[in-house]
Amino acid sequence: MPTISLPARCDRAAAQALLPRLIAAQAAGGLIIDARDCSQIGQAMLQVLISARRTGAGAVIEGSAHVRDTARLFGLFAQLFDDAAPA
Amino acid sequence: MKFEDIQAIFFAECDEALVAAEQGLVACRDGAQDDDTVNAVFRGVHSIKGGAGAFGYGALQAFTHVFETLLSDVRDGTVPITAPLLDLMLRALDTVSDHVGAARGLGAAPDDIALIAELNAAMARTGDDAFAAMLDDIVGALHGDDGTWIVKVHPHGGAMANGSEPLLMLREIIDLGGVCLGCDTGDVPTLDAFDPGAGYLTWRFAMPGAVTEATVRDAFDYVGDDCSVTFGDGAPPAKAPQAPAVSPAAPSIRIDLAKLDTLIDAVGELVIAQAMMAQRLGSLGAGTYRAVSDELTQMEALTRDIQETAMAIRAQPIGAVFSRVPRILRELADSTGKRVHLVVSGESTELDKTVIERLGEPLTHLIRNAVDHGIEPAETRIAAGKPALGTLTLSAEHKSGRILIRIGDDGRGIDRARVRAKAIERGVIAADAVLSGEEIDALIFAPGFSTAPAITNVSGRGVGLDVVRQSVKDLGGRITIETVPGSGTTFTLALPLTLAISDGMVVNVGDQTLVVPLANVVESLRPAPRDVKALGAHRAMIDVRGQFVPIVPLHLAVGAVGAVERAELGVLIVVETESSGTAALLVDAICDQRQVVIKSLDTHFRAVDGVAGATILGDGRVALIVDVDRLVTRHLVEENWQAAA
Repeated sequence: MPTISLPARCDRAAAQALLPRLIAAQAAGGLIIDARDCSQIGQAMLQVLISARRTGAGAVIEGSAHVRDTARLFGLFAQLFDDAAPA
Repeated sequence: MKFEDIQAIFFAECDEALVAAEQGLVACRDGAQDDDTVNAVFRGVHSIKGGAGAFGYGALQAFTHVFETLLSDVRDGTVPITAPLLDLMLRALDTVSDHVGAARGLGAAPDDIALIAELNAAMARTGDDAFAAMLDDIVGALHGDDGTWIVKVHPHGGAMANGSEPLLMLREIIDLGGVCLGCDTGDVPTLDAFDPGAGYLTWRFAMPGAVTEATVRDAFDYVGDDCSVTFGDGAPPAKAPQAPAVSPAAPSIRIDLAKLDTLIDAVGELVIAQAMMAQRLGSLGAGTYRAVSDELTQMEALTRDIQETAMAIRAQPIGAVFSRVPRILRELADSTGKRVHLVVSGESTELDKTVIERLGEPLTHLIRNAVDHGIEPAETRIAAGKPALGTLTLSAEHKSGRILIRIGDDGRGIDRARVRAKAIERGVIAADAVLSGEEIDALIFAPGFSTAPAITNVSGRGVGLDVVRQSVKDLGGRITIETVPGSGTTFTLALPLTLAISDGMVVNVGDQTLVVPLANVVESLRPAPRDVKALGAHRAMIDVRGQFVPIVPLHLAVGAVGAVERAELGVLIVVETESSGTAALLVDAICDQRQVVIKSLDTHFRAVDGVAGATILGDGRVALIVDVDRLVTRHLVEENWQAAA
């Protein structure tokens, strides 16, 4: 599966730049989104990631601690990650 | 109001908030860890964050959000205040200051990634702990036994534009005690239909009963209609039952400085007009004067009240300058390895805003000098029986109509033998010059003078103290040194409270009336013929209690006609100068000692060598204010007078 890496700062501009790459990659099947270097993430990028998970064969997201914490805090962990959120 | 004006207000508020936050953190370090102090720090950072979001300064907003979250934990008591935490928060405040500078266009944004990680690590609620705590909160919220109510938040696309970030606002909701009950992602389309400018998510939060609807709305104030906020599932209270204690602030308004300066100018004219009227009435005869003397006295008192009140409006506490010092010391600690304990007093002492603004640079030089040259390395201090940590003392106080600022260190003191040797080497003094200890100390203010063995980034270029003396002189002040070898050095800056009005001695010199600033005057005397010692045809010295002081005939310096030329026939005003020591100005007579309103010649005419400004006397005549330092130096040094003596 192809891998797309996200930058450290995942703001709206990064989400806009990512969208066409995701569309192109999804056309070829599933993909891995590497967000392990991400230290800031905003609503725009979270929405894009949810959309990527819902499109075609879906996407596997590898998130940094910050991304995973943010997802937990804002009730989006289950939509973004396959592993269960720790209790 | 234009956008730039609003932006300028935001930056002014940032400066105030940074000062308040820094003062709060320093107070915490000094032991004042009460709710009000911590709240003051929180409010300072919170207000910067709010404005940053509104103006689209994303980096500033993001950093202040992380910092604010940590402060929230501190405020709640979930993170204890420790010395390392205070150091971390002071560094974070420095970075906020750098971000504000970057937003102003004064440099690049700081690299804050490592610091953000440190701030996150210091928070109470991170990772799994936060999630566990959140679950507990959800359980409590669902029980609804504490007045819990629900709010739904749907940020639209506009809430993500111009650097705004909805998640930062949602974090504020969480900081208020809100718990995310879930996020509705049903509207998020697949990638082919995805619009990156749209907002698809709707969150649902359980809010504690103590939080009001208005407080929640405030969090979204900056995005207005770009965020739908719906209240439901339980009524939010109209008023918080236990609002956090906030110190009542005096009502205030923000005034354009130009308007204030116009007021000060008008008050200056009023003072002059009042003096002119008093003089005119006096000239009309004793009967006329007596008839209106009560009203005149009342008017004089009122004029003085107005003048003092107008000056007080421009006055600011010197704490605004002192608050920069902890950061300077932190930076010096990084570059020199010397950590210094700071003791500050009198920070509420007020003086003119312009003086405060121009005080920062000389103060920074003196502090750098004290740490670099004065305070010894820890091992040297320990060997000398001193505490390893040096102490820098900053104080301010009003005294005799002036403000005294002292910068003292408990370092090694000035090495007079080394200073003297360096001065001889540089040709500043002759090898056989006889100088008192104080005179040797004063040599360190000579241009280009430095005893530092190596030039460092901190000091040692020999420009610092020369610049300091000039800056203080430009402010109408004086600087003196007291040093005790092995025990430390104290610099004392004596500054005027304002630059608009000064105390002066009105003197007659031939056909001219001049004003000698009282700041320079030591004493005045009528010399006996035996005390005056002639040196050639035109030069003389006066014996002032055993010390010979050169006489400077003021009429020669200003080109006055018909003046007294022999000292024993006139009056001598003994003055202290920064550059040329003590001198005695020869004048015909002293007319008065009074406050004078200073008018700048640079603005109204042009700069004149030896003249500090002008004022209007009670009879309407213009009198020049003498630049004593410059006149004496020109007369004694540039005319090679001292060599002749």
